[in-house]
Amino acid sequence: MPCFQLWRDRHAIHPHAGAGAGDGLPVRCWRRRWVGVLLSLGLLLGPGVLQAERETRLPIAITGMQSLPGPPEALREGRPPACRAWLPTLLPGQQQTACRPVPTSSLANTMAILLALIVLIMIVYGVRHVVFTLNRLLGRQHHPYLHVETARWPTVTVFIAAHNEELVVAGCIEALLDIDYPAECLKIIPVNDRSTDRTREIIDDYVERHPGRIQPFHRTSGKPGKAAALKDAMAHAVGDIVIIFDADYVPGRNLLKQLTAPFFDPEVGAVMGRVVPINAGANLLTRMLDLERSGGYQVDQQARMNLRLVPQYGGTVGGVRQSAIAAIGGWSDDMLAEDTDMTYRLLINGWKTVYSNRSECYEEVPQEWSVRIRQVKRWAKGHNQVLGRYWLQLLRSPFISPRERLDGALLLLVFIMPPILLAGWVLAVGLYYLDSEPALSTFIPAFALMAYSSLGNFAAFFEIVSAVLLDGSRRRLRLLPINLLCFFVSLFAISESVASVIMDRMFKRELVWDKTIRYRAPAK
Amino acid sequence: MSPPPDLIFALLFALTSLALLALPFVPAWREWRTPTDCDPLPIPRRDPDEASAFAALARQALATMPDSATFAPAPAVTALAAWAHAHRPLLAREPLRFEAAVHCGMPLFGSASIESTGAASFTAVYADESLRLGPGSEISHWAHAGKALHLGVASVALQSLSAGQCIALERECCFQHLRAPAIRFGEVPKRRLALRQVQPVEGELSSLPHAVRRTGTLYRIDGNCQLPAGHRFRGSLVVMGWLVVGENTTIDGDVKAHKGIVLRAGARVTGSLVCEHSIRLMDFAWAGGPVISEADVLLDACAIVGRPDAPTTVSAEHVVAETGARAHGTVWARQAGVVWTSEAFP
Repeated sequence: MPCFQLWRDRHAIHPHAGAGAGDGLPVRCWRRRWVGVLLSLGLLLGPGVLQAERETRLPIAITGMQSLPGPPEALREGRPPACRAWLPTLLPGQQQTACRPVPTSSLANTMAILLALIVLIMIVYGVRHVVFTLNRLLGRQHHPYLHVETARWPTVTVFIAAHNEELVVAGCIEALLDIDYPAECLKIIPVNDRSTDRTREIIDDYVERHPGRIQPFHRTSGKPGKAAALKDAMAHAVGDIVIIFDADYVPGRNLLKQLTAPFFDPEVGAVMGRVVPINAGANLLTRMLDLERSGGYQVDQQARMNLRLVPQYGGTVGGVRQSAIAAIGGWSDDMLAEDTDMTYRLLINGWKTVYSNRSECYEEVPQEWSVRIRQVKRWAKGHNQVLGRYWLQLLRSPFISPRERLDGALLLLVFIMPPILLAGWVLAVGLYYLDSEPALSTFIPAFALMAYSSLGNFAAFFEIVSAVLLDGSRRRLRLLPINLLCFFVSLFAISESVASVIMDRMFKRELVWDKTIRYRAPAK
Repeated sequence: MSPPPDLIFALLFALTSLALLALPFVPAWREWRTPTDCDPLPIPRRDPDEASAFAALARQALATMPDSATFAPAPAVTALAAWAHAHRPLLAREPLRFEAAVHCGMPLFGSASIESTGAASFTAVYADESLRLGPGSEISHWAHAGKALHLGVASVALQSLSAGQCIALERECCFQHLRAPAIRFGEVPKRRLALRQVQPVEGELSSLPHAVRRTGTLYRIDGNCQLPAGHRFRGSLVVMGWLVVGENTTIDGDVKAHKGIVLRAGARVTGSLVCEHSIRLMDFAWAGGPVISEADVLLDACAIVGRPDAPTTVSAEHVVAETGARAHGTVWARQAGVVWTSEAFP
C-alpha cells in the first residue's frame, strides 16, 4: 500500500467517520487547517494569541465536529488538556478532543506545564528586548555626562591588563600616550601578568622612552587571572579613578575624558564604554560577532542606560571608583567574570554603573570558532558564578529600585537561559511524540524554535537590526540570517558550561581562566 | 490514481515554508561570499561638535588660503548683495565693520576683527581677533573669535560659539554650546545688592537626618535634605530627594540629588553638582565643578560656575541664565539656552 494511503487511513478514514470521510476531508476541515497553521504562529506572538486561539477553536469544534471524523480512541488516550493548549490542532479529531474530557497523563501534563513556564520566561526576555529596542529607536537618549568637556580633571590611573600581549601592547600604550588628558593627571600602569613572551621587554622600552609617564607593574607569581593581577596592581594606583583597558584595545583621543566625566557624579561607581571589533572583516565569524556586539552595546546597553536599569560594567574600556570598590569589599580575585562581579556588587551596595555609548574603543574578536566557544564558556561560567553568589543579596538590597531589581535579576539569569531553552525544545519534541501529531504538526515545533531564537535571551535579532541601522552601516545586515549559526553555537557552548559549573561545584574544582587569543600583527 | 489532497497540501506547505526560510539566505550568502560592508565601524578621533575643532579648521584655512581656490576674497562691507550671494567661503584680511544688516550664506574667515552694528546673519564665522555682532544677529552653525565674542540683544546662536578670551551674550540671546575662559550673560541688574559676608560654622554631614556614610567622605541621605544657612560641610553628598543648600553655606565636595538642587544666595559647592531634575543657583551662588542636569539649569543673577583658573562645564537640556550670571569653561544647553532679565527694558 502506498505510504500516502497509510497516512490517509490513519488520519482521515476512521471507524467513527461521518459523511464524506472516505472521500477525503471536507472543505470546512481544510479551512480549519489553515486556521490552525495561522494560530500556531501564536507561539511567536505569546500567550495572548494562544488564548485567542482557544477561543476561536472552540466554536469551530462545536459547530463542525458532529459531521467530522475523529481520531482512533487509542490516539486520544493520554492527551492532556494542557498539552492541547500548546499544540494547535489541525486534524478534525483533535478539534473534537478540545471539547471532550479525556484522560490525562501526569508525565505529559508536567511536561506541558514546564514548557509553558519556559515559554513564559522566554516571552519575558522577548518583551524586555522589544522594550529595549523601541526605547533605543524612539525613546529619549540618556547621555548626561557626554558634554562635560571642560573641567578640573581628576587624577586617573590607567591599567593595561597584559598577559602575553607582545602583538598588541605597544599599540595600546602608544594610543594612551597620545590621549587628550592632562599629562600630570594621568598615570599609565601596564600590568604585565606573568607573560612569557616579549611583553615585558616592550613595556620596559616604553618606560625608558617616556620617563615619568609609565610605571610598569611586572607580576611574576601569584594567582593567575586578570582579576588577581589587577587586584595586586591596585596598590600602585594614584587617585580615586581607575580606568582599565585590555592590551588589545586602542583608545581614541577623547576616550579618557569621556570615561572619567561620569565620575563627577558621586553616586557612580563604574563606567563602561562601547567596544567595536577592529577585525570585523577577517572572516564570517568576526562579521557575525561584529553584528552581535552592535546589538549588545548600541541597543541593549544604551537602552538600559536610558531606562535607568542596570548597564553592565565590562571590565575593560571602563573605569571604577577606587573608594567605591573599597566600600564594597575590594576586588574579587576568585571570579572568572570580575566585571560582572563588580557590576552586581556595586549595584547591591547602591552604586551606579554608567554606560557611555559614544566612548568607543576598538577590540579584537575571536577569529576561530574554538576560541569563540572557549570565550563564551568562560563568560557563562563567570556569570553563573556571580549568579550563585549574589542572587539573594540582589533581591534583598535596600538600595535598588524595583526596575533595577527586575532588570538585574533578568541580566543575572541570562546565562542559564540557554540550557532552559534547550530543555524547552526537548519538552516540545517529547510532547509532540506523546501526542502523535500528524506530519503537518511537525511545523509547530519549528515555529516554537523560531520563537525561541528570535525572542531568546541574547542576541535578539531585531536588536541587531536596530543597532546596525543606528550605526549607519546597513549592508552588513544581510548576514543576519547566518547569525543563527552563532546563536546555536553559543547555545550549546553555554549549556555545556552550565553543566560544567555544576560539576565544578559538586567536585569542588577550581575555575580555570582561558586567555583569548590575539590575531593582530606585531607592532613595529 | 491522483494523489490525495492531504499529500499535495503537505508538499506545498513544506516547499513554501522552505522557500520562505531560504529567501533571506540569498543576500546573506552573497554578502558572505562577496563582502561589500565588512570594515570596522569608524570611530571619530574627535567630537565634531567641539568648538576648538572649528577654530583649528579655520586657522588651517587661513594659513593655506591665499593660494587656495576654495575661498573667495570678502567683498566690500557696503556691497551687501555680494555677501548675500557668495558661493564660496569668504576670506577677509582686513577688519570688517558692517553698518547695516548683513546676510552671508557661506562661512566667513577673518584674520582681524569683525563687527556689525545691525543684525548680522552668518552660517559660520571666524575672527582671529574679536567678533561683535549687533542686536538680532543669527549664527546658524558656529562662530569663533580669537579674543572676545559679543552677541547683541535677542541674537541667536544655533550651535557652537567659542572664544579665546570671553563670550558675552546680551539679554534675550539664545544659544546652545558656548566655550570660553569667561562667559558673561548680560549686565548685572541694578536691583542686586552685594553679598552679605558671614563667618561659616563648621557642620558635620554625618549629623544630618538619615545620613548614611558610604565611603570616607561620601554620605547618602534618603529623602529630602535642607542644609542650614551659614555652615561649612566637608564631604560629598548623595540625596535621594531634594537638596536645598542654605544661604552662605559651603560644601567642600561633590553633590548629587535625584529630585532637584537649589543653592540659595551665596551658597557654594566646590565640587560637582549633579541632578536628574532641575538645578538652580541663586544670586551669588557658586559651583566649582561641573553642573550636570538631565533637565534644566537656572542661573540667577551673579551666580557663577567655575573659576578663570579652573574652568568647568554646565550641561543640561535647557540652560536659563539671568543677566549678570557668569560661567567659566563650557555651557552646553542640549536643547536650548536663553539669557533673560527680570528688569523692565525699553
